[in-house]
Amino acid sequence: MSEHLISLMIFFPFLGVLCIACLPRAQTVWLSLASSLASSICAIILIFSMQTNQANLQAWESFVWMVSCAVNYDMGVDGLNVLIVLLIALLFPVLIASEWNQKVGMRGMHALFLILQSALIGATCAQDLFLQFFFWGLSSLPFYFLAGIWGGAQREKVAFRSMVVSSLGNFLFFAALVLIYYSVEPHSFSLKRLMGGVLGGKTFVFLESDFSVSHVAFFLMSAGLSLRVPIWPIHGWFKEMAQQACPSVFVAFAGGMIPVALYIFARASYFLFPDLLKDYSFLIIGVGMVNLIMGGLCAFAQRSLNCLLAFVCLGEIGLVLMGLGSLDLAGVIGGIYQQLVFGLAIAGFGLFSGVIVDRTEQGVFSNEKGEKLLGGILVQAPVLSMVAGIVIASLLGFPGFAGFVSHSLVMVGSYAAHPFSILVAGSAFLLTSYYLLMMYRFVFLGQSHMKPFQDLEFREKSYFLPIVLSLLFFGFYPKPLLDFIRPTVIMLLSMIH
Amino acid sequence: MLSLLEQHPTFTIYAICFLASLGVLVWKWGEHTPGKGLLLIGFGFLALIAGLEIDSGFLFQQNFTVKTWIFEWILPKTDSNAIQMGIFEDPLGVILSAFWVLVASIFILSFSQFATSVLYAALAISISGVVLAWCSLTPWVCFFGIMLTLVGHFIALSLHRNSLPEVTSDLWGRSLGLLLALLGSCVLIATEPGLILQQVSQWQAELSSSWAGGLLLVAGLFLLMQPFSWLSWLSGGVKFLLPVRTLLSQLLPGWASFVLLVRFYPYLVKIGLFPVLGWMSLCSSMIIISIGLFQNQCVLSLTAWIASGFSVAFTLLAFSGCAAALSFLIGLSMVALIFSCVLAEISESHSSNHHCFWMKFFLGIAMVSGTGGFGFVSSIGGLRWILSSSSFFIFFLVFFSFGFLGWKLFWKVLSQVHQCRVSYLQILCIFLFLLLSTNLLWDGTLSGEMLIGNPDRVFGSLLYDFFLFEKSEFERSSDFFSILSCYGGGLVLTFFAAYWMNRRKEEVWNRVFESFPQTTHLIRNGYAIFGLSEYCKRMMMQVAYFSEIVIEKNLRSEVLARKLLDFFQMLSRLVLKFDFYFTQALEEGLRKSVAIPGKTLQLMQTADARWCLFFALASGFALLLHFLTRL
Repeated sequence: MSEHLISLMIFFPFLGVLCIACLPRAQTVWLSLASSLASSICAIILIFSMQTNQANLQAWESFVWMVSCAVNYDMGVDGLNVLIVLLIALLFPVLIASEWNQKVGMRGMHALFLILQSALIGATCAQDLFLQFFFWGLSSLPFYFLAGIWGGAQREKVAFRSMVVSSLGNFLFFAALVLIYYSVEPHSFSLKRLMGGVLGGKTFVFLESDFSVSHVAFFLMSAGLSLRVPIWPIHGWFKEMAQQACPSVFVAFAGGMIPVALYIFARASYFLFPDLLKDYSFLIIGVGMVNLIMGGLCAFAQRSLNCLLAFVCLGEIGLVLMGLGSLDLAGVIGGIYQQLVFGLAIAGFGLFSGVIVDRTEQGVFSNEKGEKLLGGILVQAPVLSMVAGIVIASLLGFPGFAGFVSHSLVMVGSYAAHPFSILVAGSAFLLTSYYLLMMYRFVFLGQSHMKPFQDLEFREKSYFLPIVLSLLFFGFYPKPLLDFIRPTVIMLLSMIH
Repeated sequence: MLSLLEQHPTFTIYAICFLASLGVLVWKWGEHTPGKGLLLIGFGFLALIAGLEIDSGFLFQQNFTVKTWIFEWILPKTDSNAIQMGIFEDPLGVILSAFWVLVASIFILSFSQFATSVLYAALAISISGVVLAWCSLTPWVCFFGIMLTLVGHFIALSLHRNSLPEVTSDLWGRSLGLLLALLGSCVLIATEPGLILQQVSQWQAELSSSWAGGLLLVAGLFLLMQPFSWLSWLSGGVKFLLPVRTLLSQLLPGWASFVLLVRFYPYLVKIGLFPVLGWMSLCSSMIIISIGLFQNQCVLSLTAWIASGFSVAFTLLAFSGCAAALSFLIGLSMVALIFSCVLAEISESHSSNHHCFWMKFFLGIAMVSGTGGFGFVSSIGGLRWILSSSSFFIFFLVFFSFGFLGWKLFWKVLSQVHQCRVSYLQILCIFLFLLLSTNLLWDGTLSGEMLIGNPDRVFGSLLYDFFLFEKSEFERSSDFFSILSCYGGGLVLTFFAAYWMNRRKEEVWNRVFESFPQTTHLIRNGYAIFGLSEYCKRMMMQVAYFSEIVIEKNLRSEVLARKLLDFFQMLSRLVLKFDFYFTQALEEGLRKSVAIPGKTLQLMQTADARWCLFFALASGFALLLHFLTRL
């Protein structure tokens, strides 16, 4: 049983989808929550059963899937993806609980969430590139329907746009896979076989010119993933999604999909292209810095909670990239930790802004003259205000909150690698602190200009609780999680240096 | 277990956590149990004092041993970038922690009739933060302490609805300071693994990293002490519970931030940041003093005086060392508390005249103490400053201005004090605050080492013998006397100058205000710093809009998307044309290729060609058979 925990994590949500399809509508919510929770419990058991200070993959599962193409069902968890597994395990039951009272097409929505949970866990744990692509490609489909069916007036346009972008990204990613597959003998998609610079020095001929396989594959893969992650300036679709998609869908995308995409990038770059990382780390840090500063600047001008959230995401992604590109022990650990923190904090932000928009029917907190349109929620809804305060403190990286651990590690690591980056990061932090605190003031402090605002109900409190507790616990006691990450990062860095 | 207690400051750690938890409890449920808040917080203070005393050995009359407790927080300590948490109890930390618990207890006594459970909670949380900061072994713990004091500060401010502008401005200023300090520590840890504050004098000073990290750290900590241009105190409802605001918003966060400056002092001197940064704080203090001088309200003058005092303390630290800065800050804090309590009484009471003589008397003594008068601990700061400084006149000017603002405040308060109504308990509390700022307590001498050879020494100096701060001596007695007389003359001058400006029939200040109304208005409002910050904010917004419009709307939607669309439309038209002609040609070819066999088949079907075909096929087969049989 314990050897197949990863498969169970993938299987339970699929089983839930089947049951939802077959069983009566009345049991949908409980069924979907139970199947999602079952998957999450498997993830928690898996994490507790993992050995710390172990660099190799654990909970390894392997069997042949397609003999003719050398595609295997290889699954495993190590320090690089354990936090993503934890994030997905925490996130999806929360999202399902947040859509408990969904009036329109609840069965469909919950089924799509479950498919998404399975797909993201599969993409995270897969150790075979084809299998990873299979799950990764699968994950884009539920989003098309989730974004297209539930949301604002322009939702179909947004869904179409995001689908086009993600299809293009998937195509580039797949092209990289094919290139890698045919460049090794015997042909293989297995990450275990391809790791450690196997692709180094290999070339292919195109239009009578020699091209390096690793260079082309690296750039194709990076470009493919960057189309599915909002990277400045290719982020327009993301902002539109933030405006049009319903909060839980956007949270699933920003808090679930983006960390997985960043993880795939990290896994692929560190495992397949260690030689290139040395040469192009400045580029990764550069992209991170641009995201951080432009995200901060654009957030400064936002007056709507959803748009602000989109640009906060942009900045947080920049921080992850800065950590991953630093090639320093602390920096890379910080980058990996930031993926978890970012997912949780964005989930918290998205959900509390969803609650506010739901109750006030107003997502814009100030008008063009800078006058308040919301305000006074602190007095009327102290619990919601506290939740928002904790999420914001974590996003700002205050000591005692999970954001502090990741931010400080990224800063320490980035400074060691590129001292200049800390100036940019510092400036971005100043901007972040300004606009987040300003938003808090406009929304929560002061006198109320709106109708009575009801505080969180029991159900809402119960789904905010895991997020808030995680942000606090991982801020106060990050050691157990860091013990998982550190050995893997040491191993990966030793391959690079 | 016993060895654990002997080696680690266990009681202190538990007591800090206990006090902070009590604060949270009282904050959350204090209103449901009236009267219990004071009891609980008092018990927490007692536990904290006991914890400090037990751990330091004072309670059992053991030898003082420095106890440390450290653990790995982020990454193992073998890693160079490991972030560790630790508490240590050196004499400085223990005494100043105990000092603040004592001050808070006296404060509660003097202010109990106005206090609510939320204020008790805020005070408990803030005090636990200050103690944590003073006992911190690594900067990261100190940041926790600073955060706790800020939490207490915001809890207190949240009580008043008109404090919103102040909260907003303050929230950003303090967050900015904290983030900068954190950033600085992140840079410093790259050069100095562990950042253990106990070993600060042994740290290596690598130029670029140390300098950059130190600069960010100092800038962040300085921001936390409300220098110019973070004048949040100027923007809000400062009349609200003045003593609470003074203690929780100004003094405690300032003191918690000052810890790191004191602990890092040898390192900052080694890397050359001190005394250079002292000039920055010097300017800040002068600007704030000028703002304070132009205020009409006593409350704002007092707040400005405290804010400028922190800048002066920073300057003292940079130029004259820890002993001077700390002694000055102690005096400033006690006097600030006394004045804020008195001003609160003035605004609260109506027309009684209870114990006003004692009030006036103690106010006078307090201002002597606050401006560095002989016999009070702040005089050490003033004298050491003059002694260690090469630019005597500049520093004298700052000290004179600071004293002048103090005495101006005193005369202003004195003109209103006849309305006050105070109890003997409050007079006693003021007396206790004054007692805590005497030289005898901190330096062991009655005069503050004003007499050559110190014949008035009663016991050893806490500052030099116990805290082990460096002490600079006068080389010649003639220098000492000239400096002493100069210093004393300066103090007297500030007193009379302030008297002349405030106590005449027509206040000189009023004439200044009438003669230069615009200048007065400009200075009174913090040199239009709020307008400037608003302008900067608008500029930033414009940049943000511009970047968004350029990239999002113009570049992507207009240029990129339109060009792409045009390209695809053109491509589509071309493909459509090609498709049309190609399919037409294909159809024509197909039609032609199919037409002949089709026609044949049609002829066959209509029987016109059936017999001809039969004969043709038969003759063909016959010929074939003929040749095959021949073979």
